[in-house]
Amino acid sequence: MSLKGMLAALALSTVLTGGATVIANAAGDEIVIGAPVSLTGPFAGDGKEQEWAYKQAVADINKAGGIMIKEAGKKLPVRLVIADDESTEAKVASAIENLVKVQKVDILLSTHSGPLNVAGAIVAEKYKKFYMITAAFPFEWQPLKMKYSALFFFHPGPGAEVPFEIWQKLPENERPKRPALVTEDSPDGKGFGGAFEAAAKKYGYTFAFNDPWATGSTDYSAMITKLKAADADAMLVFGSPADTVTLIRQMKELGFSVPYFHGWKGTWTGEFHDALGKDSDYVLTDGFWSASYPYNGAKELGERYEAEYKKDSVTVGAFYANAQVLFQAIERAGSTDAAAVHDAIFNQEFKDTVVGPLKFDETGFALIPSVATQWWEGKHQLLFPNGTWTYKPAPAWDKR
Amino acid sequence: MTLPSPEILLQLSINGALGGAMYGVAAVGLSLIFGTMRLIFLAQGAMIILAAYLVRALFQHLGIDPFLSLLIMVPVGLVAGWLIYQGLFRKAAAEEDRNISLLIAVGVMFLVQNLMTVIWGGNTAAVVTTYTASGIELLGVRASFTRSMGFLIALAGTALVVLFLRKTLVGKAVRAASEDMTAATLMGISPHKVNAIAFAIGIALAGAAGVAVATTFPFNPFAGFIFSLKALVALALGGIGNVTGALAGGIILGLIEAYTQFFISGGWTNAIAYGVFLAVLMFKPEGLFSRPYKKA
Repeated sequence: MSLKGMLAALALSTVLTGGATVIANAAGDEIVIGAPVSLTGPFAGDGKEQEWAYKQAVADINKAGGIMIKEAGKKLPVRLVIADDESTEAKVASAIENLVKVQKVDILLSTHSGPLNVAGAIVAEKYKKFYMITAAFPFEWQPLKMKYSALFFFHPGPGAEVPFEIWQKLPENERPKRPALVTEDSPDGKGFGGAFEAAAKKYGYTFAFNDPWATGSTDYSAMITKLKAADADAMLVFGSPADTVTLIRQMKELGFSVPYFHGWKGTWTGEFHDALGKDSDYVLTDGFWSASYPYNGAKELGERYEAEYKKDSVTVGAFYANAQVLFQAIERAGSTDAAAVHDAIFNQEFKDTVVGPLKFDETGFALIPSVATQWWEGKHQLLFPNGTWTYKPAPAWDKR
Repeated sequence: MTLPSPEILLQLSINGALGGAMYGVAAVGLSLIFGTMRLIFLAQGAMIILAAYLVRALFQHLGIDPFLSLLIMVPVGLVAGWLIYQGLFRKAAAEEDRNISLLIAVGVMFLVQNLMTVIWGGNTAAVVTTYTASGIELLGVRASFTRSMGFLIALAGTALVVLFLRKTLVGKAVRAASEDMTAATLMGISPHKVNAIAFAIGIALAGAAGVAVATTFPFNPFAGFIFSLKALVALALGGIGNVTGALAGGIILGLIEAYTQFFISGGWTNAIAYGVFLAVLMFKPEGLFSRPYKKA
């Protein structure tokens, strides 16, 4: 079904369900926020971080008395209702249906990943419930031209420029001469691959090796042999945690290393470090956030997470900020009414969040920078943007 | 395009064969089960991953070395396979319609995947030992220690199965049943007994493969499906129902993947592997190592 057809079907079903659609407002005793979260399935690891961040945000706002609603003339406490989306698009839709129709939530916070959030945004649009999103690429969500959802995240274009920005700051003799690009054979991988190629051209680099890799493969020895033959001295790798761990393990087994290894998608998670131990040192990784950010509450949030899980996180701040934006928008709108919240977010700025100031454009999108950190002794050390950590090139495996 | 050096070709061949043996050991289990039950046991990959999780649990909680846990995983697999057959497949196996057994296999796969997710979560898991990511010199080139061990496990597992099928009375009964169940039944062989034995050995091999997987790759509850698919390709290459052919099919698949990755592109690996799978089914459906089917 085309996008136009899908939207037409949604419009029709909205008309048919007419009387059942409730325009919520915050005139009751509490504000009920629903959130589909991946508590089970392949994205459960990320989902747990998201759940934690949302719960922290709700606990913090309630500790401050709740959200000020002028219409009610008082602060209203927030109640969070989470529904497991089982990491699938179909279940995101049914989770939101359940939150809206059964749990009677007033407004929604997003799950994460592009396909899941697109599915969620479509259902939220149908029920006229505002859906505040983070962790989805704008090129996946923006073409839908949604009225009742807004998004903040980084864009592959600027995200792909991060390694080149880092290299520009290195002394000339330490900059890679023969970088390699390895992107997974998936729509995201292809999208990022194109962005890396454009960024390389912009910064004057040529890839000595540029090849996609099959997702879920168990053997990358042939690719490593090719990388060796190409004499690669840096690798930009877009792939899942399992594939990237398998690749790095095989690189060590076959005695091949590069001074600069920068991963996207698969290298920021705690499981990446757990699976590699000391071998994760020197690996650079992407992320959406850092506890080293100078913004109000960032450091404290990072410390809280670390105290509870004995590891750091490069995502919880983005999810926490997602809730912060929604709380502030409800307060500005004085209501949870989707149209009022739309007006409170689109073309508006939110200065006080743990990801820094967010400026939403006329489409409801706000750009955040892609983060680059380097794994060191089990922790993410912030390099970009404005990190204080000094980049360490990786020595050969037998010299570590 | 210039031909790569002999060292590179040897490197590709050794690593491709070591990787392919993993598919091979999964395919041997599939082959045995298919031989007697005419069932593609799609849950084999999920059983391998379940075994990998158990190996990890034995290592983390009891300190049992993953390779030593073979002594536990194989007997546990035998018992589990026997019980799975008796509990889930016995009744369906008696039916003419094989779709019921296939649906049960699919149900087992989803059940095992979701149970693993509930118990261990959906995150990528891994076993980290002192020999994780170690390399060794093999025929003058670098190779993975754990993959070499996996290769030995695959060889030993297949050899034991072949010996069992050729040298024991029960094994001969399994072979007879896999060739002609009706004739075997008329000779007094119990179809349920041979099916249960085939299932038990098949799941025991999944246990052994789980050790190889746990020591080599990170895994998650859903990683087994790819294993089932690749084992199916290996099975078709080697000849469905042919145990040694299944192992050889796995090794050939590993070599195809390695050469494709090197000479063409990593992105083509799966496309070419599945293309070869279809080509074999179309032009040599009995597999590369079996005699052609007799025409009626």
